[in-house]
Amino acid sequence: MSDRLLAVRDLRVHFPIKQGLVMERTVGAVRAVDGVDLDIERGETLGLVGESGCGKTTVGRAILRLVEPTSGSIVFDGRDITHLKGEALRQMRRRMQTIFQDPFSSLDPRQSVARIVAEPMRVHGLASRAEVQDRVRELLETVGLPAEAGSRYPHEFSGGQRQRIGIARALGLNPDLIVADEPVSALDVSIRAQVLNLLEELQDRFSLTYLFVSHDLAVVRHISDRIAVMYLGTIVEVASADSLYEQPLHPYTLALLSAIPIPDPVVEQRRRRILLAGDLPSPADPPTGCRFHTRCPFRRPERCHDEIPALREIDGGHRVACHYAEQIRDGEIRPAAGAVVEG
Amino acid sequence: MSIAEVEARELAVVVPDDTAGLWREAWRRLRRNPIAIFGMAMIALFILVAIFAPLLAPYSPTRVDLTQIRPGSFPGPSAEHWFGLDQLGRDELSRILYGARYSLIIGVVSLSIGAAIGMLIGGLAGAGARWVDSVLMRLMDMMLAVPGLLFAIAVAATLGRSLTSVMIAIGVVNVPIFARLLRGSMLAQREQDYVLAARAVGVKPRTIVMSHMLPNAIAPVIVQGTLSMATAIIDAAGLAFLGLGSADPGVPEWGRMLAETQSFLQHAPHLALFPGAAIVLSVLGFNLVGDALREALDPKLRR
Amino acid sequence: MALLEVRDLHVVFKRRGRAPVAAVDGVSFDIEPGSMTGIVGESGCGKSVTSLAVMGLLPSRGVQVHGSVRLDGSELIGRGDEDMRGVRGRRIAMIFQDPMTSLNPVLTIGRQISEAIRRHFGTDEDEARRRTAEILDAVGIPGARSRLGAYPHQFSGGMRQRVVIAMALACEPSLIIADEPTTALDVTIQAQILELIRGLVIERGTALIMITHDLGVVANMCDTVNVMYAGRFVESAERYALFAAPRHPYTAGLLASVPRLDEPRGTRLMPIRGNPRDVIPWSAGCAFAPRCDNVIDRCTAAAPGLEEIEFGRTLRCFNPVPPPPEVPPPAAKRRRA
Repeated sequence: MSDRLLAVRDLRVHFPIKQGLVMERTVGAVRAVDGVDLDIERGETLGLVGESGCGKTTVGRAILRLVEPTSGSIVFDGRDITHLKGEALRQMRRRMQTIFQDPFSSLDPRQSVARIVAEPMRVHGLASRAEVQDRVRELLETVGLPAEAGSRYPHEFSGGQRQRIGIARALGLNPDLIVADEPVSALDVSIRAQVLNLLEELQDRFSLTYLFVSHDLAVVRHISDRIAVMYLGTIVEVASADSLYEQPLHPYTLALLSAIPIPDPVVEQRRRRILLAGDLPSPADPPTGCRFHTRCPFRRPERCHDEIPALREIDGGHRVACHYAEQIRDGEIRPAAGAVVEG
Repeated sequence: MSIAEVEARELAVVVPDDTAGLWREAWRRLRRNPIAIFGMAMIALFILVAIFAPLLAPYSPTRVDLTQIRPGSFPGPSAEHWFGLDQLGRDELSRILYGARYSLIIGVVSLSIGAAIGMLIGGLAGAGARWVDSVLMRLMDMMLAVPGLLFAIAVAATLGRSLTSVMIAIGVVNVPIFARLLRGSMLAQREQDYVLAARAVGVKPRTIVMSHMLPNAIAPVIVQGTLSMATAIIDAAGLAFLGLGSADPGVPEWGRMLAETQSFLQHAPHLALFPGAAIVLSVLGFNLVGDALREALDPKLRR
Repeated sequence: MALLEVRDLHVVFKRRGRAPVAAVDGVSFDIEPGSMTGIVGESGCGKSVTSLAVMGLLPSRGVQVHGSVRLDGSELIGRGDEDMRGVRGRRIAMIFQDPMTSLNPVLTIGRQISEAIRRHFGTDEDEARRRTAEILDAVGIPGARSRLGAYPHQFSGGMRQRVVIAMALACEPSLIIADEPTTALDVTIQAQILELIRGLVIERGTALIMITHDLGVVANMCDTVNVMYAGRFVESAERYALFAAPRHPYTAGLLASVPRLDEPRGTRLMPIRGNPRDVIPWSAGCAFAPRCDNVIDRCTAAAPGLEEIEFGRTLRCFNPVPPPPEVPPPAAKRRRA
C-alpha cells in the first residue's frame, strides 16, 4: 500500500459551448479545469481553495468521475482510473465518496433517512438486510444522530443534521477518500463548528483521507494539512497550511488572505488589504500568459502577459506559479498604487 | 464514546410523532382543505352515477314515450319525469345519468392512454441521452403543431364517427402535453445533488431514474392528470357537439345532447341546461381537486 | 434626537392552522446620523425582518407590526404605501443580498437610477442622467457614462452590487440599510464592496445599518454592534468592547466557534451545541437556554430583560460570561504618573 492515495496529472476539463438549432456546433469551450496537478497522501487533508469559477468543484467531480476529464490522468492508489467504465468504475466508487454543499438537495426528499444511508451498501450488495439495518443505526449514531432518525424524512431535519446524514451515507462503504465539497458553507455559523469537529473526529477514527474543497480560507486552514489555491482553472500555489499563512507567495493568495474579515476590530484596524482590480475573466476566454496577470497588483510588463508560469518549488514543498515570487517575497517588487488599503 | 455519540444521546431530534413521507403528508393536507373535499365529493358522485346509472335511472335512456309528444311542445319537469322529456320523448334524467358513463369512459380511457404514452416518451427524453431527447421532443413538437380539432376531424373522417374516434383524438392530443411535462420535471430532478450523490455511490443509471428521479418528478404530472381529465370531458362533449362522436342517435352523450337542443332553446331551455350543468359540475370537481393537489404536493409549502 | 428611533418593535407572522410566530419580539435601538451600526445574527433571528419593518416592506396581509419607528421624529409605522414610497430611496435606502432581484432585468441601469432621481428630485432627464453617471462613477463602474444603456445581466455579480449601491446612494438618503450585501459574493469582491460602502458612507455622512451573520464584517465596518437571537437583541455594545469581552454566551459561543486566520491552526473550535431550531419561546424563559453552556435554573423560569451593564452596553442574560481579567498594558506603553 503506497502512501500516495491520489495522484492527478495535468487534469483538464473543458465543457464545450454549443450553438445552433438543429445541428449543434461547438463554438468554444469553458476551460473549467486547465492543467491541474495534485497529490494527496493517505490520511492527510488537502484543502482546495478558490473563489467561484476557479474550477475547484469540477476538480473534485472529475476525480470522482462524476464529470468526464477532457485529458490528463487520475491515479488512485496506484491504479489509473481515468478511463474506467462500467462495473470496474462502480467497484472503484466504493473507495471514494463525497459530501455535497447543499444539505437540502443532496438527499432524496422522498426516501427515508435509513434508506438514504443504506443505499450505498445495498447497491454494492455488501450485507444482508439485517446487517445493513444495524450498520445504518451505527452510522447514524457515529454522526451524532439518534437511531430513530432513520425512519424520518429529510425535510424534518435542520441543515446541520442533514449534512450529518450525508456524512453517514458517505461513510457506509468505508471509503479511503472523501471529497468534501463546501460541506459547511450552507450551514449557519454556529453549526459549522459542530460539523467540522465531526469531520476531524471521523478522520482520526476511520483513517480517512479528505479532499476539502471550499472558498472559505479560514475553514480550510483550520482543517487542512496542505492547501492548494486555485484560480481560473489552474493551481497557483501549494503549500502546507502553516507555510501558506505564514508566507503566502502568490499575489492571488496574498489578496485572498487579506480580504478575509477577522472578527477582531483591533486586528482589522491594523490590516493592510490588497484589493484586486476588475473582475474574474471568463473561463471560456482566459487571459494569455499568467491567468492572473489582468488583476495582479504586482504585474510586470516583461513576462506576465506572454509566459505561463509553471508551478515551481520555492522552499521545500511550497510551490508557486509566479514568475516573480521571490522578488515579491523579498519586497523588491511593490504593489501598484491604490491596490493596498489600510485598515 | 466519541463526542459525536455523546451528542447523539442528548440531542433531541425535534420531530412530530406522525412522521410521513411527502405523499402521505400531501394527502393529509388535501384532507384538510375544504375545497378539495368538495371537489373529491363531486368526483365521487360523478363516478358513482356513472357506475350505477342503470340502478338510478328511472327509465331506459332510449325509451320513447310517444304519448307525451306534441309538435312544438316539450313537457317540462314533472312528477314522473323529474327532468322532463327531450325532443324525442325520452326521459331526460335517465339520459343525463347514463351520459355520465360515456363522459367517464371517454375521459378516463382516452386520458389514461394518452398520458401513459406521453409519460413514457417524456421519461425517456428526460432521463436519456441528449440526442434521444432532441429526437423525441421534435416529434412532440410536430404533434403539437397539429390543431386538436383538425386532428379529431381527420380521425373521424378516417375511422368513421364513433366513440372510439373521439377517444383516439383526445388520447393523442394529450401525449405531447404529458411528454413535455414529465420531461421537464425529470430534467429538473437531474440537476439535483441527490442524483449526483446516487451516481457517486455507484447506483446503476436505471435504478437512479426509477427510484430517485421518477418519484420526485411525478408530482406535477399527477396535478396535470387531474386537470386534463376535466379538459378531456369538455373536449369529448365538444367533439360530440360538433357531431364527431358516436353516429348512433340514441347515445345519451352530454355534448351531443347540447347540440341537439340548440334549435329549440326558446321553448325548452331546460333541455340544454341539464346536460350543460352536468358537464360543468363534473369538470368542476376535477378542477378543484387538481388545484388543491398542486398546493398539497408543493414541497416548498412544507412545514 | 436620533436619526432613527426604533422602540419596542414587534413583527408577528400569522400562519394558517398554526400558532403565530413573532419574528421580531420587542426590538429597540437608535441610529445617530452618520453612524455605522451592525445587527448580527444567524438565519431566522429576525434581523432581516427588522429592516423590512423599518422600510415598510412587509406584506400587509398575514403580518402584524407593532411598535414605533421614528425617522427624524416622524412615525413610519402605519403610514400608507404612497407615503412610504416617498421615504424609501430618498430618506432611507436599502441594499439587498441578491443584486439580481433588486435590479429590474428589463430596464437599463441608467434608466432605473435616473428614474429614481427624477421621482424624488423632480429634475429633468438630462440632469438626472448626469447625476446617474456621477454616482455610477463614484461606485467604481468603469466608463460610467457609456454604460448607462447596459442591462443588469451584462454585469458580473460584484459590478451589479455596485450598481445597487449606486441606486441606494443616488437619492442621497440619510440612512442606508445593507442586508447581507456581500454574502453572495466572492471574498475578494466582498472586500472591494465593503471598502466601497465604507468609503462612500463616511464621505457622505450617511448612517449605515449593516445586517449580517459574519462577525468579521461587523468588526471591520460597524462602530456599534447588536447581537440578535430569536427576535430580540441579546447584547449590544461598542465594537471594541464587544469583541474584547463578549458577555452573552451566544456572542461568546459564536466567536469561539469560528476558525480565525490570526489564531494558531490547532485551536479547537468550540461549537454551540444543538441547532437554531432548539429554542424555547421568550414567554417561557430565555430562548437561548436549550443551547447555552451557562444555563442556570432561572433561565427557564423567566426571560431575562435587557439591562445596561455599562455605559453604552446592554445585555440580556442572567448568567453572563465573566469579562476576561484586565491585562496590564506592556511596560513600554504604560503612562502612569
